[in-house]
Amino acid sequence: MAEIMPIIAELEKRFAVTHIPLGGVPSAPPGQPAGQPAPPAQPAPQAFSVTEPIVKVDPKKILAVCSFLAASGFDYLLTVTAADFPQRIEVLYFLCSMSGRLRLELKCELPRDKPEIDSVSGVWKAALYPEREVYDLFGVRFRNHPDLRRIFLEDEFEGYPLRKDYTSDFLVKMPEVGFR
Amino acid sequence: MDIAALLASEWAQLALYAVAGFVLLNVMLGIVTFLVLMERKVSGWMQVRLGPMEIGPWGILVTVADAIKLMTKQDVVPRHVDRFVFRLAPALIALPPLIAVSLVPFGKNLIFADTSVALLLVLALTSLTSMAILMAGWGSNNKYSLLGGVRSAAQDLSYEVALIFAALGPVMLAGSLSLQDIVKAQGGVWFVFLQPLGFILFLIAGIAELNRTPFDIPEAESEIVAGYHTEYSGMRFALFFMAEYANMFLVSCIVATLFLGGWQGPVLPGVLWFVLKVFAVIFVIMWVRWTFPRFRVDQLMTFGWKVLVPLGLLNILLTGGVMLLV
Amino acid sequence: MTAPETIAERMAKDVIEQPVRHEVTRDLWTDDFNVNIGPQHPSTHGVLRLVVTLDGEVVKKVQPYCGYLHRSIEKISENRTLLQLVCFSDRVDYVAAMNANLAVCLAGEKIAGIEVPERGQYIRVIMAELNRIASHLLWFGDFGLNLGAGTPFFYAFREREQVINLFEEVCGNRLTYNYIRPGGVAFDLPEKWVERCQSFLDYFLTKLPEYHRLVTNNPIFQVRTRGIGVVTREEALNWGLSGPSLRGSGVDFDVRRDDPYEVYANLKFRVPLGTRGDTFERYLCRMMEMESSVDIIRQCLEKLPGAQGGHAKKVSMLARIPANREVLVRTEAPRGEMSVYMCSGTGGPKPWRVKYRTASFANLAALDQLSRGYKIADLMAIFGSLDVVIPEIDR
Repeated sequence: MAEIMPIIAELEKRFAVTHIPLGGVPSAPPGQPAGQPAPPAQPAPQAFSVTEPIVKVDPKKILAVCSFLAASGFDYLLTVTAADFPQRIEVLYFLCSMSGRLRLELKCELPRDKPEIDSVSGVWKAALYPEREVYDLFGVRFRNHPDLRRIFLEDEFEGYPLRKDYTSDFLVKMPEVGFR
Repeated sequence: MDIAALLASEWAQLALYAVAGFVLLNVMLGIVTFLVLMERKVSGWMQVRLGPMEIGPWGILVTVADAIKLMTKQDVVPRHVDRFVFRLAPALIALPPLIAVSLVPFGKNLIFADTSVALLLVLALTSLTSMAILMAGWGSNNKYSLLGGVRSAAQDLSYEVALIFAALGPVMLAGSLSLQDIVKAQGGVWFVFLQPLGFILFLIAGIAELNRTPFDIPEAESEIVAGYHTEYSGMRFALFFMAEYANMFLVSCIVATLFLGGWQGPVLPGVLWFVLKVFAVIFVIMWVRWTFPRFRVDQLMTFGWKVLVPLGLLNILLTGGVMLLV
Repeated sequence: MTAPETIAERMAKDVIEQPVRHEVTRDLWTDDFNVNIGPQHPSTHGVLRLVVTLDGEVVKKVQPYCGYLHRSIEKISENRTLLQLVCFSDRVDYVAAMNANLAVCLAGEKIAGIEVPERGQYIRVIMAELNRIASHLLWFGDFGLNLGAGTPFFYAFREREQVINLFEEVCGNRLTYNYIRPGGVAFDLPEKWVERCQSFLDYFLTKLPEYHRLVTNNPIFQVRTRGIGVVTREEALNWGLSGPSLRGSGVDFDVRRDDPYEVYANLKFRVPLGTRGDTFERYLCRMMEMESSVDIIRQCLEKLPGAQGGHAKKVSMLARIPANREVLVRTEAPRGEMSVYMCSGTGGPKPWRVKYRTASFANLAALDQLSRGYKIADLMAIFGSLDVVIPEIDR
């Protein structure tokens, strides 16, 4: 855990990322000691991860951040995935370093109406297929991806199924779980 | 009406030959039927299972069921094939082994046609098989079949050379190309003890000629579906199937004749010895099939040309040298 | 290059490129041609379509088309509670269902803060390792079939049948177990199961040398697999390969040892490591992993705590996941690394998003580069050595 702090500090310095530490509880802003009642205009609580530190990156800087991280020892990209929220689509990158056993999660928030982001397949070839999958299921366009087309669904498919607002005649309403 | 004269006349002779030929043909077909069953049982036992058990007691009638199934299938000739070649290929592939079996000595006096160039004829007939496979591959108008046919042509050609070199050893020892003479020359010692290298070479090259694993590239199932017989179904496929087993029987007969002493053997009648030897060789061929993975094409060709052919030449040299000295 | 806009443009992009012509002399040339392998293959890998561009026998390009087995498991999972998720994870990788169950349960437990009693943890590890043996046996049989050897398949299944019988005694299922649940395992071990497991392990260790004699030391097999499909260490890491495909190239990483979960931290086991990164090394890594699994199971059976610990913690069917939490749980499945990402959004009994990161998906991506320049027969050997199963790719 300690080995990753210098890298995160470097990232914060160079690319102005936000760090959500493992286990969450972001530190209280200065002048607001913990324990005091929160001010009324507090933003919604951030999601934190129980297993690795999250670094929120501006989508425009993702390629630079990834190149920096690849050079700093994060040589393994586990996967690229996405999650659909009411106001945004989050694209997530899970990185790890084989030698140092470090783990890191990068999060980029994209607007739902035009989700576009640079592809990192130039840095890690492991991103090629997962990015196609995210395009297929969420509709996120990856710029400079060598072969961006649908991977699971047929090419003429309309819509992006894993979005929360996807409806179709095939989607069956599941009865609510409960005790009878 | 002079009965003796009638029997001695040409018509009677022809009729006799026709009947004998008919009997031989039926015996061959029966043997092929039995071999299909044997393959399935032997492969089953090697694979820790029983093989076919349902049809007939212990699954004996399974080939009959197979034959009925194949005969009652619709005869499909795809639209864009080369019709003449497509239809000729299965017939051409089934004929050579059936003809060549007539040259093999089954017993001391049990040979259909005792010619002085029997071995040469047999080897020439087996080459016809490769031509038929190429015809099947080309005539099917299908990428996979073409791949299979071309591979087979290359393979058969290469291993034909090794086969002939290996067969020359017993010819030199016996001094004749006639199969009956070669068997008679093994009265004292079987040639397998005098020609161990030749025996192994002939067996390997024979398996390669048969297109069986580890040399079954032409019909490599996991790669190109079914190779040269992809487009054949029903009775035409049955002919390919039959030809493979008839060829296997033929090659085993030749191995038994050239190296294992043919019908020579104490106590038991010659035919029985011959049958035992042939089926032992067939068992070995089946055993090899289920034990080894298959060669890749270029490895197969390397093995044929760079290993078997030089060894065959070496074998001839050694045999000639020893014959000169002894 | 931006993604194409219209369907026509999309389809045009998808068309196989025009065959390349190679001129030998002015009147003599060869063309590349495309061969379609699948989606139904005799090689029993499942439904995957490969379009291979060949120059004679040499592979120029391999384009996989997946999605024939896409069942939208991830979308369905968004509407299921933690307990209901488990039976879907079975189908994500039905060859190694226990490992998939384990991954999803670990994710659910970590995100909801559920603790598993020690006996439950040991039982889970035993099941996961037994399933690793069963999965590797199936892979071994299939690999032989790919190369043309028909017999190892039956021997492997003879052993696999015994493992499956053990599983049937425990949970009633032979393929999709639904046994490892959030909080522990579904049922405790039946009477005398431990003894039967021990006797299976003893029997199995006598069979492994048979496989090595039959297949590994076979000269034809060696000539078909040595030097084929070589991937260097850096390439393997860049492509995201995992499991024996990664260790065959010399990267010494095993999630069980280096990022341990459950009780793996208390166990000592060998992780086989290759050097040359070819098909033979990957094959050997998997064969030796079977031995090391036997070792692990033996240690677990010894250390198995008594029944008073309980095999599971009672978890409500509608256990709530707290809001705003994410988790990524990494496990070592037989194919490689299976990781489950779960995020809880606004909280509640159902997760907001579940993502399965499966090893076969990543390994398939590397197939194109791995097989360029080799012959078509080698393509099947390489594909077999990557141990790809289609349900993991398509989910």
